[in-house]
Amino acid sequence: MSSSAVMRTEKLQKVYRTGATETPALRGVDLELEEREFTATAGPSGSGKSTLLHLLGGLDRPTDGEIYLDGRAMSGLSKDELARLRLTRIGFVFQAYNLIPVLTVVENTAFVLELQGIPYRERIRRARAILAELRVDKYADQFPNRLSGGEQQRVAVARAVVSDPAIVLADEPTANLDTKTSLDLIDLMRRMNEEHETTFLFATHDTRLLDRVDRVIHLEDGRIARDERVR
Amino acid sequence: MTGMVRMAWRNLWRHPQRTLLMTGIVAFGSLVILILFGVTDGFVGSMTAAQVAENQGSFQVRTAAYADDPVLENALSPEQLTAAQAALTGMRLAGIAPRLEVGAMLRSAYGTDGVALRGVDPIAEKSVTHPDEMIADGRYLMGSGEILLSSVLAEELDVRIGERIVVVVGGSAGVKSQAFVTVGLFRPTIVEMERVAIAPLDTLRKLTGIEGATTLAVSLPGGTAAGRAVAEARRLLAAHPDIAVADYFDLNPLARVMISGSTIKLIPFVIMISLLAGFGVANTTFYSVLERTREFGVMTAVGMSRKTLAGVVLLESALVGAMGFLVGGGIGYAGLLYLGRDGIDFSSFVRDVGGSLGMPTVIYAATSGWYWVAAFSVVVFTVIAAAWYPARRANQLEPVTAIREG
Amino acid sequence: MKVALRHLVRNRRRTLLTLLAVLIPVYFLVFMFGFANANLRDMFETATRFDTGHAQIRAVPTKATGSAIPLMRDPSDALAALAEVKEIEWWTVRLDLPAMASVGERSRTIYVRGIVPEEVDPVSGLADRIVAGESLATGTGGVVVGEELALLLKLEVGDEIVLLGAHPEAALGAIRAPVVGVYRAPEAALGRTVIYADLSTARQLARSETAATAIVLRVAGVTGPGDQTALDRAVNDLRANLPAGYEVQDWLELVPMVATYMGILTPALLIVGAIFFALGGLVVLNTIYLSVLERTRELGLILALGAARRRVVRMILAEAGAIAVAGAVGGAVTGVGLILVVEAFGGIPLWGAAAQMMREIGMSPVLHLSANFVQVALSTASMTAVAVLAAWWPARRASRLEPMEAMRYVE
Ligand SMILES: Nc1ncnc2c1ncn2[C@@H]1O[C@H](COP(=O)(O)OP(=O)(O)OP(=O)(O)O)[C@@H](O)[C@H]1O
Ligand SMILES: [Mg+2]
Repeated sequence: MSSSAVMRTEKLQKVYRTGATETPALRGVDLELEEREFTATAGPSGSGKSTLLHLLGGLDRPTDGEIYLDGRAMSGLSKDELARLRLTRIGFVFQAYNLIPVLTVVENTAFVLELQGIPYRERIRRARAILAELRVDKYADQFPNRLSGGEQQRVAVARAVVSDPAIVLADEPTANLDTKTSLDLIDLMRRMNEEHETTFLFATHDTRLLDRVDRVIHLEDGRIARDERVR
Repeated sequence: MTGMVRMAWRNLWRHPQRTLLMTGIVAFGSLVILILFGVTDGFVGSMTAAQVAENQGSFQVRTAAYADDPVLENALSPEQLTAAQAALTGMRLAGIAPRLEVGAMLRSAYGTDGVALRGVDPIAEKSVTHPDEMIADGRYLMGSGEILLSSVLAEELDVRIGERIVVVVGGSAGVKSQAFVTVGLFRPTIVEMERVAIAPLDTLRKLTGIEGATTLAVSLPGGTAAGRAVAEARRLLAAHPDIAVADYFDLNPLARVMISGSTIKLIPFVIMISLLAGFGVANTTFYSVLERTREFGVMTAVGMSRKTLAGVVLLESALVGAMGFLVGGGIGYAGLLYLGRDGIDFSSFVRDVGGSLGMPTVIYAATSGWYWVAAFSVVVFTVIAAAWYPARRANQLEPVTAIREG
Repeated sequence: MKVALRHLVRNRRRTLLTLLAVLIPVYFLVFMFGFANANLRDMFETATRFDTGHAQIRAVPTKATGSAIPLMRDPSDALAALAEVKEIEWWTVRLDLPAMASVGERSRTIYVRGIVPEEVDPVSGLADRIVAGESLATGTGGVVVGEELALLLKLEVGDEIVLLGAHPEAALGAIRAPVVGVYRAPEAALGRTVIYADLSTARQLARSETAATAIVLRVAGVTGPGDQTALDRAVNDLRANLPAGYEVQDWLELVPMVATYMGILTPALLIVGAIFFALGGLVVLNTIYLSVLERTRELGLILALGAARRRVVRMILAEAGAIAVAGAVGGAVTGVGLILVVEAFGGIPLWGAAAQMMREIGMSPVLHLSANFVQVALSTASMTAVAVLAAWWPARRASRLEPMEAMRYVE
């Protein structure tokens, strides 16, 4: 067990109950994510990728097992403490509709900072800087519905990294994009990973993206089938 | 926080028509409540003002016994009258006038009418109820043996200026009568005063054999708080237990019932209107929360606390409430200004039903008062009640479900 | 229709709120009309039984008489004419005289009302209103005074009262009469001003054997304020029969307060009704608009599949209609139900100062309610109409959708 692990899980289990039927989505996942790692999780549909990300991000609670973030167990935290944790330590990127339609691009990016109580000038400055790094600063004052899907996802990445979280979780961020845009987005994420020293974990179906990551965790039927270091 | 307000505001204008509808509902509700309260309040205010200015003065000093048994025997004696006037000299008064009031019968060549005959000190009374300013025909009292009639009485009795009229009163020496010369006709705005005849105090004293006065009417300079003045007068007269101070409500015991009655009657209205407006706002707010489930999921995912989220929802309806209140209040204020300036003429109604209660014939709406607070708190209540459930739903939102269902 | 109902069920909460928004105005209006009806009936009963009758025959005034009623020297010709009008089921001769009443040193201007007790009692129930002493009997020469007057003059049963008649058309008479009873008037003002005497006693005061001021009468088939047409017919028949010098006034002319009250009540209720209908209508408009918005994609699909626009309008109006009918009928049922419940418990009694005020203006201190079928039906129907009308705009909006546009609609 390395001390540089940002996130660690122990025998993580998740069972969904709908009425009488039980769907086990995760059946005991032990996992460690090192600092600055750029990791993908892959696997067939229904293998539990989204479930894993949601649990790691504190959006949902495991049925059994434990998650440690920065060495601290997450199971003891209240809902509000979890929200606080997401605000400061975790960034999220979803498949689509990531942005709040009534806020401009820069406001969307600065939203997390605003929730943290950072003063207006400071947060706008930081948001613009990140947008520039992701090459979407020219849309800063537009509303999200004017942007293409790829541009929207880049803004979502900007929002995820702007608060300098310990880890960014991205659930199929490229699923709605064409190949070229997808590769672009992954490259940009990679750059963020390197320049800001942020840990990334993203779920994908797309095998073409897998040669651009450090490590691939293959999920099958709620278990880690293979955990390979690519680089 | 400003960011949250901005977000709530922009959220509202995602669907302008929807928001305008909600605003309209709130505006309509607050408009109705304002007008209702304004007219009611104005009604009460006009009633009090007209009574004070034309009939009673701000308060009256009488013997303690007179309130229960208003007969001549219970009049203030000349000594009591002097004592009372001396006691009140320390107060800042606009006027103070003794009156001798007695039920009388007027007989003209043609008809008979029962009236309240009011003996006044012609000079002193001018600074209390200004009867000289109400004269519509003829002139004010100048010498003894003269009488002023309301124009209604004069018409009923077919009496003209300069003609004689016989006054019949019962006094300590039995029923007595005397002829008076009609010198002037006055036109009051309160119906009660239409059955009043005014004559000089000394003539009536001779006729009835009563030397003092039944009451001492007092008027206050403009802007004086009547309640405080009455309290002060009571304190100054505390040494005379046989002398009592009667304020507006003592003189009009039914006015208090009418005032509270007319306000209480509005409460079911206010509740119903709040309910209706609340339904309108609740429907829309709930719908807009449902519609944004996924968006709310993303916001909680990036770390917004659910309390803040519920706050944004509340803020949205609070903004609608504020806009509605501004619009409704603006229109309501204009309406009340208009009604307050021109008045609502209720004379035909009042003549038939309200005379005995001392209602004025023209009612001016009040444009300011506590009912603004009432209307606003109704709006606030409506909005909070309407947004409660939606906000609670936002507060209970499970981020995973919200994101998966999107 | 089935589709409309299904939509309503789908959004149960919203449907319920809207239903209430339709229900409340109807309920409120039915209830308020109930109050007004009972109020009017109350006024009618008090006025026609105790004071004015359904109508009166009076002498046509030839000159001003103050507040005195013009005198009829001998009303026998009018009585003869009256007997020929068959709708008139009851009448009695009355003499009202302005007078000065004195007891010891106290005196008041009042009216002496000379009546024929055995004719008046069965209708007015004066005998039942006696609170002290006994009622009036023909030929005894005593008088009955109101509670309020007894208080003002410090009178008790058995005291003597001096009455000084002052009718401007009659000779001045004075009598000394014993007070045999005290009555409780339905209206404080009456109790303060009216002293009842036997007709012959009152005639002594006017120094005439035959004088009267009114023939008070009741018309067959008139039982409430709604029977004005029957009353008008009888009054017209009577007018045609009467000799010159007489006129007929019905109770509304004799108690203009009630006429004014009725005149104010109707517009006031209509204004209140309109306010509530407008609010209810706005809420319905809002709901239907929301439901159209929510189904934009679905409606687009229906249109794309080739449905006629009229059909879409009809579908949405059906939805609004279902809410409107259910809400309005529900409001009428709860309103009438509440009225029935309140009446089953005997009305709402007032107490203290409020009761005193009701008495002061001549109304019963127990609030009653009475439902009128026509009003209930009209309230229900108009609210339904308002609600369906309110749905018209969103319905049209829905039918104007461009199918492809609508199907692309998100949010
Ligand atoms: N809310 C839920 N209730 C019941 N079962 C659920 C729920 N969410 C997920 N599941 C089930 O859990 C399993 C894992 O789902 P999950 O969404 O994590 O898979 P995934 O790997 O993300 O799939 P995909 O690649 O299609 O996104 C599936 O069998 C799914 O049906
Ligand atoms: Mg998934």
